[in-house]
Amino acid sequence: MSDSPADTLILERIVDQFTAELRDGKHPAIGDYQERHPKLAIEIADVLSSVAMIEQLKNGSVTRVDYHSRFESVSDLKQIGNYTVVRELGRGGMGIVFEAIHESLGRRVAIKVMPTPLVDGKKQIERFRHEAAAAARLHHTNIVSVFGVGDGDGFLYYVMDWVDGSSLNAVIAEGVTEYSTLAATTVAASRGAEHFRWCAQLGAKLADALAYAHAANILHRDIKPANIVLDRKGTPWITDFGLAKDSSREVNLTKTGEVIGTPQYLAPESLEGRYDIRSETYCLGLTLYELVTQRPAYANGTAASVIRAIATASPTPPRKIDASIPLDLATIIEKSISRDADLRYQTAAEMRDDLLAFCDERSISARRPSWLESTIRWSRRNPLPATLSAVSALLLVMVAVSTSVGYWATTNALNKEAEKSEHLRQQQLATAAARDEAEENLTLMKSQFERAEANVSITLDAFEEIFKSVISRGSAATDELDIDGFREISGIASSITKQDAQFLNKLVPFYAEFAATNADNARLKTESAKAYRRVGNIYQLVGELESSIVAYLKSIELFQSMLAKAPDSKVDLLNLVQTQNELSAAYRQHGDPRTARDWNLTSVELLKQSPIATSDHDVRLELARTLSVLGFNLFRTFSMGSPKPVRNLQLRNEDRFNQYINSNRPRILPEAVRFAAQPFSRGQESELKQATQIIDELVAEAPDNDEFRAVRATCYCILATTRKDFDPKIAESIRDRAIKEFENLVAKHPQNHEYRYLLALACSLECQQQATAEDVRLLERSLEISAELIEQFPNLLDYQHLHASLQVRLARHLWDADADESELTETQRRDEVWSALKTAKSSLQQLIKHTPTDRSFKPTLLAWFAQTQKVSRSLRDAGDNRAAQQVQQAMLELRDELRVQAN
Amino acid sequence: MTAYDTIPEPAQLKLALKTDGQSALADFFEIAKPRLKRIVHFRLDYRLGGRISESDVIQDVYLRAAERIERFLENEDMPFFVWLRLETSQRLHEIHRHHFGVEKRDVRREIAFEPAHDGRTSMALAAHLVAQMTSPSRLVERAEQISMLEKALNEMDDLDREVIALRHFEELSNVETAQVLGIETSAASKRYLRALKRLKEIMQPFQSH
Repeated sequence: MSDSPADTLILERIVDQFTAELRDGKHPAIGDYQERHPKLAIEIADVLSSVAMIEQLKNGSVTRVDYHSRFESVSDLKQIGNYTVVRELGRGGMGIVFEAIHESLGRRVAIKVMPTPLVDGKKQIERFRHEAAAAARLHHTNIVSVFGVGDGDGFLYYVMDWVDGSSLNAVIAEGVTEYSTLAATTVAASRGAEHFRWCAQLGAKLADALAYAHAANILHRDIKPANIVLDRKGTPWITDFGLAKDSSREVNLTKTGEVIGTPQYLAPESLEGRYDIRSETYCLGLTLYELVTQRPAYANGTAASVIRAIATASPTPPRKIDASIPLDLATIIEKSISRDADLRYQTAAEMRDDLLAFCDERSISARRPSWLESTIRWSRRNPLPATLSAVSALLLVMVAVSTSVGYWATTNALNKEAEKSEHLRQQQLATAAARDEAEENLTLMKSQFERAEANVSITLDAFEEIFKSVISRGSAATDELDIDGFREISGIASSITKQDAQFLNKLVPFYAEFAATNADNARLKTESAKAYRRVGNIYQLVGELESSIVAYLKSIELFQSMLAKAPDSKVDLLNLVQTQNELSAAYRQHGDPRTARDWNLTSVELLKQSPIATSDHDVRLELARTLSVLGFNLFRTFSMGSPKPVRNLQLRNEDRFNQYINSNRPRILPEAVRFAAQPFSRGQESELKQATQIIDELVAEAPDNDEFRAVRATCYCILATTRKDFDPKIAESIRDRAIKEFENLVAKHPQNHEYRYLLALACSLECQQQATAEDVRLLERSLEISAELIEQFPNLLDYQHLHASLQVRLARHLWDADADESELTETQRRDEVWSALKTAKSSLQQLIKHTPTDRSFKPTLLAWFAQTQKVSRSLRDAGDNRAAQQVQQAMLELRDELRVQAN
Repeated sequence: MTAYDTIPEPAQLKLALKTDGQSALADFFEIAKPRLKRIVHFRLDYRLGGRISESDVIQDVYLRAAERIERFLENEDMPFFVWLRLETSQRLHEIHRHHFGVEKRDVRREIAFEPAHDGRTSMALAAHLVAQMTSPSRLVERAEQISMLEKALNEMDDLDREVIALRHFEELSNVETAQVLGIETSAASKRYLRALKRLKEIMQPFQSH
C-alpha cells in the first residue's frame, strides 16, 4: 500500500467527504470514489467500508439523541394541568415522575411526564391514551391506581395515586436494616427465616396483583424492583403500568420488537420479540431473586453483555449466593426464572399459590416430586430416620437410576445429532432443507437435554439436602455446617448415631448408582466424582472405613482424569485435593497413619504444582490446611494423651493390659499405643512452617477472614507441640497466641462450637515437662468448655473424647501432685481423682458405643485404665475393699462394653 | 456587544474575550455548544443517563470556562474549541469519579487526556451503542457486530483508538483531533487511516457473513 503524504491527503479528503455525506443521511457509493481515484481503489474500499460501518452502527442512537434533548425540555415543568409540581421523584427511560398537588382539591399525586414522540406523534398519543385507560381499569390493593391522563405543550402525562415510600430498588440497595424501620411491624431486621417469609409474602402479593391484571388482559411489561414501591407499612405497590399493553385489543399498538424494559429484566424470549404472562412472572421472579439474594440475577454491565448473559446463561442459583435461603423459596424463584417459558409457572396465580404455600410451610408444587420433597422435610426434622420404610428408600434409588439413565440417553442422542449436523455441514452435501431439519432436531434435543440436566441437578440437590440434614443433626445450626470445610479436613469428622448411619447407608446406593451410570459421561463426570466422594463420606461417617476408602479412590480417579484434561481447572483441583485429604483422614482413622500421610503429601505436591499456587486464595488456603493436617493429628495425640505416660505405660503395662482388656484381640492396643506414641518427624516441622507461612500471608491479606485465622491458630497449636521438647518457653508463647486467637474467634462467633472446641484443645496443651500452675488453670478452663460442649452436643463424639481425655489428665495431675503442697487429705484427693475418672468413663462409654472401629480414643482409654487401676490399688492398700471393688467393677463394665462392640 | 455566527480566528477571538469578557465567552460558548453536547453525550457514562442531565453538564462546563478564562488567554497555543473540550472532559472526569469511584478509571471517557498505559482502557463502545437502542430484536441482531467492533477497537493502540473515537463519536475534524492529541496533523491523519484499515481487516470475516 501507498504511504506517500500525497496519498494520505487524498484519502483524508475522501474520508471527510464520505463521512459528511453519510451524516447528511445520504447513501454515498464507495465505487464512485474508487472510480475517481483508481490508483487508490483498494485503500478507498478498506477505509470507507470501516467508516460506513462505524457510522451505521452509530445511527442506532440517533432517535435517542433527539429524544434525549426533548426529555430535558420537560424536566423543569412547574405546572401540569391542574397540578402544581412539588418536586421531581425520579427518572426512567421513558419519562420523569413528579410529585404534585391538585390546585383546588389539595390531593397529592404522582405524575409521570413523557415528551411527545416526534415520529408518529398522533398515533403515539392515541396509544398512550389507550394504555392509560387500560391502567385506569385496574383496582387492586397492590397496584398504584391511575386516574387521569393528558397532554401539554410537547409532553404527555398521566396521574397516579401518591404512595409514600421507597422503591424496592432503593430498599435492596440500602440493605435490609434500613427498611425495617420503614415497615417495623412486618420486617425482621436479620436475614433469618422470618425475613425470607416476609420476602415470600411480598412476592405473593405482587404475584396476586399480576394475576389480577392478567385476568383483565393487561400486561405490565416492565416488572422490576424500580417499579415496585414499598409504602411505610411495608405494603408493596406495583407502579408504572405506563407501558402496559391492552392485550385484549386486536390492534397491536406496540410495534413488534419494540422496547420494553431494561435489559437486565428482559426475559430471554423477549429478545426474540415474544412476551406473554410467563415473561411477566419471569420478571417477578428476577425481582424476588434480587430481594432475596441482595444482588441482581444478571449483573449490571454493558447492555450488550447483559443481553448476551440473558441469551446464554442462567443466573447463579440463589443458595450458592446465600446458603441460608430456604430451599423451597429458592426452588420457587428458580422455577419462575427458568429460561424455558414452558418450565416456569404458567400463571402468576400459580406462583402466588406456591409462595403462599412456602409461607405456611406447606409443600410447594415447584419441580420436585412431592414424595421426594416430603422425604427431605422429614429427614430434616425426624430424629429417627431409621424408620424410613424400605419403599421410600427404593423410590430414592429408582429416581436416581431413571433420571440418570434418561439423562444419559438424551445426552447420547444429542451428541449424535450434533455429530450428524456437523457432518452434513462439512460435506456441504446437504440441501438447505435437510440442514434445517437437522438443526431443528438439534434445537429440540437441546431443550430436552437441558430439561434432563435440570432434573439431574434437582435430584442431586435433593439428596445433598438429605445428606446434610442428617449429618448436621446435633449441631446447633445447620447453616454453620461446612461439609467440605475445616472440620472434615482437619480430621475432626463429626460423629453420628447408629440410626443416622443406617439412614445414610440407604443413600449410598443412590450415589453409587448415579456415579457408576454416569462416570463415562463427560458432562456428568464431576457429578459422578462428587457422588463417589459422598459415598466415601457416608461410609467414613458410619465407620465403614474400608468401603469409604474404596469409594474415595474411585472419586479420586475421576477427579484426576478430569484434571488431566483441564490442568488449569481450579474447581477440579480443589475437589481432588479435598477428596484426597478425606481419604487420608479415613486411613488415619483406620490406623494407617503412614498412608494417610502419603495422601496428604500428594495433595501438597498437587497444590504446589498448580500455576496459581501462589496467587489464588482458595488454593493457598487448601495448601495451608493440608499442611496443617499433616501435623494436626499429632497435636491431638499430644494434647489428649500426653505421650510420656503413654510411653511408660507401653513399657510397663502393655502385656498386662492386653491380657486384661481383650485376650481375643491382642492387636488393637499395641497398635493404638504405637500410634499415640509415634515419634515426631522433622519433616513434619518444615511442612508446618510452610503452612504457617502461607496462612500468615493469607491472614495479612484478609485480616477479617476468620476461617484463615482459625487455621492459623491451629497451626500455632501444632507448632507449639513440635517445639515443646526443644524449647518449652517458645512453645508456651506460641500456644498462648493460639489461645488468644481462638478466644477472639469464640467472642466473635459465640454460636460456633467448633471454635470453642479448638479453644479447649489449645488450652489443654502442656508445654513444660512438669505441668505448671498455669497449665492446671488452663486445663480447668478446658474442662469447663468441654463440659459445656458435651452437654450441648452429646452426640458429637469428638467432644466426648476431649472431655474424657481432659478428665483423665485432671485425675493424673491430682494423683501426681506433690502431697506436701496439697491442701487435701489423701482420701479427699483419691475421691476427687475417682470422681474425674467416673466422669471420663461415661464419655468413654459413649465413644465405645458409637464408634467401635475408631481407635483414636484408645490412648485415653488406656490412660483411664492405668489411672483407675492405681485408684483401685490404693483403696485396697488403705483397706477399703468395698470401694476398691466398686472401682474394679467399673473397669470390668468398660471392658465388657469394649468386647461387645469389638465383636 | 457583537453577535457571532461562527467562532472567529484565534487573534480576533482572544481580543473579543479580552474586551468583552464574559459576554463574549457566552456568545462563543453558544456556538460551540452543539458540539460539546455531542461530546458529553458520547463520553458521559450511559449508566448515568437518567440521573445526570447533559444540559447540567454543559452548564457546569460553562461556569468552569468562565472561571478559567484568564488561564486560557495566557496560553498562546490553545485553540478555543480544544480548550472547551478539555474543560468538558475534566468535568466529566469529576462526575464519573464521583459516581463510580476511582476504580472506574477505565470507563472510556478519559483516554484523550491520559492515554492509558495500564491496558485496561476500553472503549466500551458496545455499551454506548447498545444502550441507545430501544429495540431488543434489533439489538440482538447487531450485538455480535457491535461487540466485534468493540473488540477490534480494544485491540488497537490507545492512540489509534482515540483517533477513531474523536473523529467518529465526537465528530471532530482532523485538525482538531491533532490538537486534542497534541500531534502533527499529518500524523493524526496517518493514524486515522491506518486505524480504519486495521478495523477493516479485523471486521472482514464478520461483514461477509
